[in-house]
Amino acid sequence: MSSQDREKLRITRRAFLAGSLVSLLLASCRRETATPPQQATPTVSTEGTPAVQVPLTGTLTFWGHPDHPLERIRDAFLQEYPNVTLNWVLTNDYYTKFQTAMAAGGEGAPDLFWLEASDVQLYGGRGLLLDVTDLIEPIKDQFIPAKLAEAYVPKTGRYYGIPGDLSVSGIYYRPDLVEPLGVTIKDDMMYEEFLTALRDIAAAGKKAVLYPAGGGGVAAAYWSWFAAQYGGSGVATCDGSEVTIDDEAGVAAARLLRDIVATGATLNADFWTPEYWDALNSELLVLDFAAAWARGFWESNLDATQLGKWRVAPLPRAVPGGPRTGVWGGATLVATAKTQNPELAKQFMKFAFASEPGCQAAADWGIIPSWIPYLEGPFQQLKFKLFGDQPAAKLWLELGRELSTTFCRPAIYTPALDILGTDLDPIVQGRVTPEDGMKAIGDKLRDIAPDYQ
Amino acid sequence: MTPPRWRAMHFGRRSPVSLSSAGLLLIAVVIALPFVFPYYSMLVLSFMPRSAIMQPVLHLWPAPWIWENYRRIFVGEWVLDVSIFRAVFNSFVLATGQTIPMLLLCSLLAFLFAKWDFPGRSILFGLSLATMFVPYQVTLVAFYLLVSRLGWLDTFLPLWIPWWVPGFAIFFLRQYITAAIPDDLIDAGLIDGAGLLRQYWSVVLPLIVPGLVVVGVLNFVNAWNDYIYSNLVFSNVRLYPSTLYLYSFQGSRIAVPEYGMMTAASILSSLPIITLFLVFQRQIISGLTRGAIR
Repeated sequence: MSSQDREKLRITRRAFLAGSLVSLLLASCRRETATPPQQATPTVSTEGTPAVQVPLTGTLTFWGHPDHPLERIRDAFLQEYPNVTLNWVLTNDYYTKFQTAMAAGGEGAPDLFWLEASDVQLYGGRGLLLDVTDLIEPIKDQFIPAKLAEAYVPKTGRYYGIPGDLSVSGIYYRPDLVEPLGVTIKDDMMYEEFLTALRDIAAAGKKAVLYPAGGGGVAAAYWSWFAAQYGGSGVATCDGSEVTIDDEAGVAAARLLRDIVATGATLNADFWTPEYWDALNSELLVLDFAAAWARGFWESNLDATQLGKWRVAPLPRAVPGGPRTGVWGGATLVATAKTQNPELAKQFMKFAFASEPGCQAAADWGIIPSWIPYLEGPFQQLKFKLFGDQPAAKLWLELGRELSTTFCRPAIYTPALDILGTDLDPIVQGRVTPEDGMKAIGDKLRDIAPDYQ
Repeated sequence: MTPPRWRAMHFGRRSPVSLSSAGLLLIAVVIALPFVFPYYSMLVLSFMPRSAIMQPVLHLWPAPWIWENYRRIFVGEWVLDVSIFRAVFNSFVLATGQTIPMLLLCSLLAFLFAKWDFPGRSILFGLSLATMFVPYQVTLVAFYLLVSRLGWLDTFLPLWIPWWVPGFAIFFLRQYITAAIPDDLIDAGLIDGAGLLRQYWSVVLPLIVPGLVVVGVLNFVNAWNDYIYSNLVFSNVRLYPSTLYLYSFQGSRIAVPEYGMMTAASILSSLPIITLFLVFQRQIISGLTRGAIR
C-alpha cells in the first residue's frame, strides 16, 4: 500500500466528530438509581410510647445470605411499620460485594449489614460505619457486656453497631451413649477431667470433638475459646496495638488443644460435611464442641430419631473460677456511614435487637439475641427440639454472663485466624513445642500488624 | 497421501483395528475418564434427592431416581424464587451484548493496527496489549466505584461496555488479519474507491470469519462464566446470570448445599455453551490452526 493511499484512510474530522458523539451518548447512559436522601420520621420514642403519629417512611437496604435471620426481623418490622421499604438482597456471596463496596469508601454499600466483630473494629475504626453511640448509650446496660464490647471501637471511643448474636459455646453430647462408657459430662469440671473422659470415649471406639486434618478454622476457633478461658485477650489487645497471641494464655490454649487431640478421641472429618453428619447420625461421634447458633444446623441435618437425645453442657473450666464458654461467630448489626437514612437505620437496629418482637423473630430463626430483657423473659420459655426437655435457655443465659470481657476480636483477628488455621497443627501434632510454635505465629502476626492498626 | 500407519488406525472393513491402535484407544479412554467422570457424576446427582446424595458413598447411578430437582429449578422453587430459564436468558443477554459489539469494534481496531499507518499506532497497540497484563483484582474496586457513580449497578451496561475492546481480541485479530489479508487486496480495494469502512465491511470482515468465531466463542464463554463482576453489579435476583444463580444453591442455614438442584442447574446452564461449541467446532479449529499451517 502506498503512502498516498494510506493518506486516504486517515480519519476525517467528520468521522472524529461522529466518534466523539457516540462516546458522549454512551457516557450519558447513566441510569439514575441512587435514591435522594430521605429522612425517616421516627414515630416511636425511646420510652416505647409513640411521640408523633406520623407514619415511619423511608428505604433501607441489607445484604446477607439467603434464609438470613434478618428476614424474620424484616417481616416483624414491616408489620409494625408498613410504610417503610426494606430491600433485602439475599445472595450467598454478599460478603465479597460488601468488602468491595467498603474498599470503594462505602460507595454503593447497603444501609445495614450483619458484621463480624473484627470487621466492626476494622471498618468502624476507618469511619465507614454509622456512629450509633446515641442509640446504644441509653440502653447499654441491657446487653451482655462481652457482646456490647464488640460493638465498641476503643480507637474512637464510639459504638458502631448493636450487639446481635450471643454466640456462646458449649458441649453438645449424648448422655445415653457416653454414660454407659462411664463418662459423665458435668456442668462444672476442669479440662483435666474432660481429657480423661475423652480417653474413655476413645477406648470404647467412639469419637468426641471434631478436629479436621490440618486444623483449619476449627482449630483456630477452639484456640480462641481456650485463650479466653485462660484469661487472655486473644490475638491482640483490644485496641489492636499489641499482639498477644503468644502470651501465656495463648501458649496454654495451644497446649490444651494438643492434649485434646492426643487423647485419640477426635474425629477427623471436615467441618459440617456429609461425613460429619453421618458420624453424628450413626452415633459414632457422641460429643462435640458447638456454638449456640449451631443448634439450628444440627436440627436440620440430624435424623429425626436423634432429636431430643442430645444435651448441652458448658465447656470445662481452664482455670478455677474461669469462664465456661467462649465466643464463636456472633455478628453485630451495623449501618454504613453513607446510609441515606441514618435515623431509620437506627430505628431498625433498635427494633431488631432491643425489642421483644425483634428478638423473638431472631430467636425463631435460631440465633440468640444479646438483649438481657429478652433473655431473662420470653427466651426462658423456649424449648429446643435437639435438647428435648433440657432447659437449655437458662444455661445459654448463664454462659452469656460468663463470657470474657477481656477477650477481644480486634481488626487483626481475621488474619490471625488464617494463620492459626494452618500453623497450629504442627503444635497439635507434636512437631513443634507450644512455646516455639506460638512464638513463630506471633512473629508472623507482628509482621502484618501495622496494616490493621 | 495418507501414511500407511495412520490408515491402519481407521475403523473399517479394509483396515481392521490393529492391536497397537486398540491399545492407543484404551489409553485415550483411560486419560479421558478423569475428565469425563465429574460430568457423569453431575448428571447422576441431578436425578437424586439430597438425602441420598448425602450418603458418603460413590454414586454411579441415581438411586432413587427423581425428577424433582429439575421441576423445582424450572418453576423457581428455591430461595431466589426465579426459574433457571430466566438465569440462562440473562446469561445469554450478558454474553451476547458483550460479544457482538466486541467483535465489530475489535476487528475494526485490529484492521487499523494491521494495515494502516497513523501516528502513535505502535504506542496505542502496546497500550491495548498492556491491558492484558493487569490482573483483574487490581481494578476491581475502581471498576465498582466507577460503575456505582455512573449509576450502572443492576444493569447490564457495566458487563458490556468496558469489555468491548479487550486487548487479547485486538491482538489475536490483528495477527489474523496480518496473516490472512494480503496488502494487495487492500490496495485493490483502494483503487476501486473503497473507503476505510467499506474496506473493513466488504473486504476484511468476510475473510476473517474463522478468526472472529474463535475470538467470539472464547469471549462468549468467558462472559457466560463471569461470576465476580456479575456478583458486584447485580443485586436484583431477576437479573442474575446462571453463575450467580448456581451459587444460590450453596447452603446457608441448612449448611448442606442443595447438590441435586445445583447439579441439575449446572447441566442446564452449560448446555448452551456445549451447543455453541458443537455448532462452531469446525470454524474454531480452522481459526486456531490457521497460523500453524501457514
